[in-house]
Amino acid sequence: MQLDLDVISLYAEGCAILGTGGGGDIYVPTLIAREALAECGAVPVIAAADLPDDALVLPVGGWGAPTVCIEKFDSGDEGRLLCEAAEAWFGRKVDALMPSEIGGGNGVQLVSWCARLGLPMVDADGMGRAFPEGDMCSMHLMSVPPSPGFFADERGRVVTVTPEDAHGLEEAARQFVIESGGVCAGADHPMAGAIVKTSTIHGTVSLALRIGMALEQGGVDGVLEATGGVRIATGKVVDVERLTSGGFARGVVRLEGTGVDAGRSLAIQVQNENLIAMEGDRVLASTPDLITILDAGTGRAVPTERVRYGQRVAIVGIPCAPIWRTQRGLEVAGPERFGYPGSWRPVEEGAQ
Amino acid sequence: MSDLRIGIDVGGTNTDAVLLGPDNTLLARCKTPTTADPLDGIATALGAVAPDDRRAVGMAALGTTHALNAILRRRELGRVAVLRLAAPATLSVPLFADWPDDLRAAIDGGGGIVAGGVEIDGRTHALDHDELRRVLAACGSIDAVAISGVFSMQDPSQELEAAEVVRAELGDRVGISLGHLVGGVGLLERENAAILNAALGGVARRVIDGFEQALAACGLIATPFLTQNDGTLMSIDQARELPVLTIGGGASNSIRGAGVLTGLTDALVIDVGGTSTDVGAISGGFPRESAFGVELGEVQTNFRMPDVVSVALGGGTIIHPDGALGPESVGYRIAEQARIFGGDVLTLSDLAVADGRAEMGDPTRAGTAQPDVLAAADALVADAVDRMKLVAGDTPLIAVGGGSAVLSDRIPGCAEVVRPANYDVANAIGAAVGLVSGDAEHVLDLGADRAAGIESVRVDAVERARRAGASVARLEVIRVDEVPLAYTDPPMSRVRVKVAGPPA
Repeated sequence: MQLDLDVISLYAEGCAILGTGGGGDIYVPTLIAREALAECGAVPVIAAADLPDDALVLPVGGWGAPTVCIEKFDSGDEGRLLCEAAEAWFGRKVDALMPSEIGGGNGVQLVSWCARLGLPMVDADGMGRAFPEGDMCSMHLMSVPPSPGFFADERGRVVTVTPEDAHGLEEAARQFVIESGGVCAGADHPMAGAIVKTSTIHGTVSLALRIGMALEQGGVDGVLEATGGVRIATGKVVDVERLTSGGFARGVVRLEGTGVDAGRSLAIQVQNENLIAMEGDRVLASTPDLITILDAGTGRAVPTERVRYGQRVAIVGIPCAPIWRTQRGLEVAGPERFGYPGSWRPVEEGAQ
Repeated sequence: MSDLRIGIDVGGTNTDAVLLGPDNTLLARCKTPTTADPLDGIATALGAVAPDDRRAVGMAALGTTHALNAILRRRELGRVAVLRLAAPATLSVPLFADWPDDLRAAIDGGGGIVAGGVEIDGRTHALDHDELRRVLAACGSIDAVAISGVFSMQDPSQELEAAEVVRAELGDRVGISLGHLVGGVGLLERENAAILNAALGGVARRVIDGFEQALAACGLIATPFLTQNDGTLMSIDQARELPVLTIGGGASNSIRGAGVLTGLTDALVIDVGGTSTDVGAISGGFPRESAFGVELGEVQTNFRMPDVVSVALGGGTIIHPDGALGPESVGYRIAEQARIFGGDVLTLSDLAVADGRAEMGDPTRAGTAQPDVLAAADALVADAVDRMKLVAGDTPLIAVGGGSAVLSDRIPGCAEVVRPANYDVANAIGAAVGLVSGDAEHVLDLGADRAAGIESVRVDAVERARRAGASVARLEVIRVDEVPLAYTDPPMSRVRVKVAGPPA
């Protein structure tokens, strides 16, 4: 399988759906990818199982504020800088890149880097969705060390850091992001192929592309089929409440059901991503399961910043990767981690 | 006293004009077909409503579709050189990325992504004037230059500096369009808006010169204004600089006019023309704005536009033998082609008369009622209205436009359908009663002194309103929006302030 000019937009739409409202806007990353694919040709996508055990794989992504990303985006050289820093550290060539986070623009950003560097992209990521914190990844759950980490920005600055844990990585990224004016590119949790096979969420790149294709063919129903998701409700956004605390865009999206859902009223708790879907006191779906707001007409994902009054939407719940449903997974990314009381229930049961 | 006002709205079908007295009393009105060169229709309309005492008219406001049509038809567009002040940031996306080929071919005059740009924390990266000169020298023959820099809406000084260089190199013959004046956050969309704005310079000159000549030929010494997207007015000097902001003026005029005709400041507005129907909303006396960027001529832009849902349904919509509704329409020929007016085409207006909900023309020619077809039309309208509703519960709906007689009096979700007098010239009335506004958007850290931060944005908005022709002393703050931005450190907010007041 490969990512090329014919499918890149569909792939990006799939990433947006897996972004559950976050992960950054896909518009600019898609344009960047298109330019690179037109110039350098398609990017091969390689299954984790097909990686040589000793391959050097670099999970990569963007750090910082999505708002800055739509003003000041890539020079195009960031991927090369990250790889060169990693190659200097390891004394060998990087064999493949992998998205740290498949959701939103983060799943798309590295396509241009792979194209320009002639590197394949691994069909896997660390989240299977988008999450706000650096420790919310499968590598952390599987005790893969984040160090060494590499950061690069559009002005050619590069640093190598050796944090002790995920929080050290966050802090290092925070410093670099401030100096870089709000955004930077990063690589962390570098892994051998053998570790990728045991410690990442497999098949998410091809899943994003399948979702994008299903969306094009079948709208919301297509998305449900491709993801094994459930339609939680269809309705109209009647209120969007936004506030910021701790650097996160928090808020509540309220909607009233329409059609077969007429008379129902739902609230979705948001912290960058859509975290909990409730009807009255009843939790219908909650993190780490994916809750995505789709445009009821087109089936395309509506990112958190773009949810607006009056929109006709379908709320879709998608089962998360099995690793998130373990006790440790729920500790790291379950509802309580985000400050919501109550235990987690699989979306397949909650939404019925 | 020169306290009379003239409002003119050029629509796809008709050019409407009104003369308003003090307290917005309607003194004269005119509806004339829009002409191939719209300036002819404008002159006709002006002559029809101008009072005997020409000096009594203090201002005349024009809303026109010239700029929109130029972009949609790719005609009369200027050639534009583009300067993006950003490198090395943003080099991964070239100029004119994602533009349709034909529009790009009509406009692209070269340019480049040059060193510069502002950081969110206020640091700036210096411009290289020699680089700017080299890029300009490499451009062929151009009509205008569009300049957009990273975070320029927050600190426009670098766009102004680059404009100085362009002026010194190319002189006054070349128009200059600055990103911070036309768009909000989002560099590519703002750059695209600035490019389209630059390309419209020639169209703007022709319309404004023509409007001034028409006023002079009519013996009027009124101050001319153009209506813009948000339902407010701008001086012709500013309209020459920012023609792209006149593009949504038509829909906004109707919405403003509907508010004035009814005295309602919060309501839905439905404007039924001959061919299409627009549903918008008036909120706090002004047209509600679209929350997102708009696609214009297939190009992503982010200037403010009224929030409107359009349906291909109007008084002239043709009813096919199988009961299908249009989407074709007899348009302005309804006055001769609809059955009730002596023609032989069955239109939605005929069905409305046959049903008894409308009274016009000759009811004996309307034919048999077709309740199913009318119900299908009502369902289309009801859906569009529901899409524009923000809150549950029944909202008043103001019906305006020449075709609004076809509407049912009972529309689901609407407490009542308000049908004001002179509903068919609401758009021209909206132009005549327009206020002048200023709108500024900055990204800033409100942590230290929130009030001072918001005040700095207000000052910018007031300055913009002054340049647009407002009486500064009478400006009022219409809205203050504050959006916190995720993952910014220190936490930043996007603050937008809009002020409006009567013309100076």
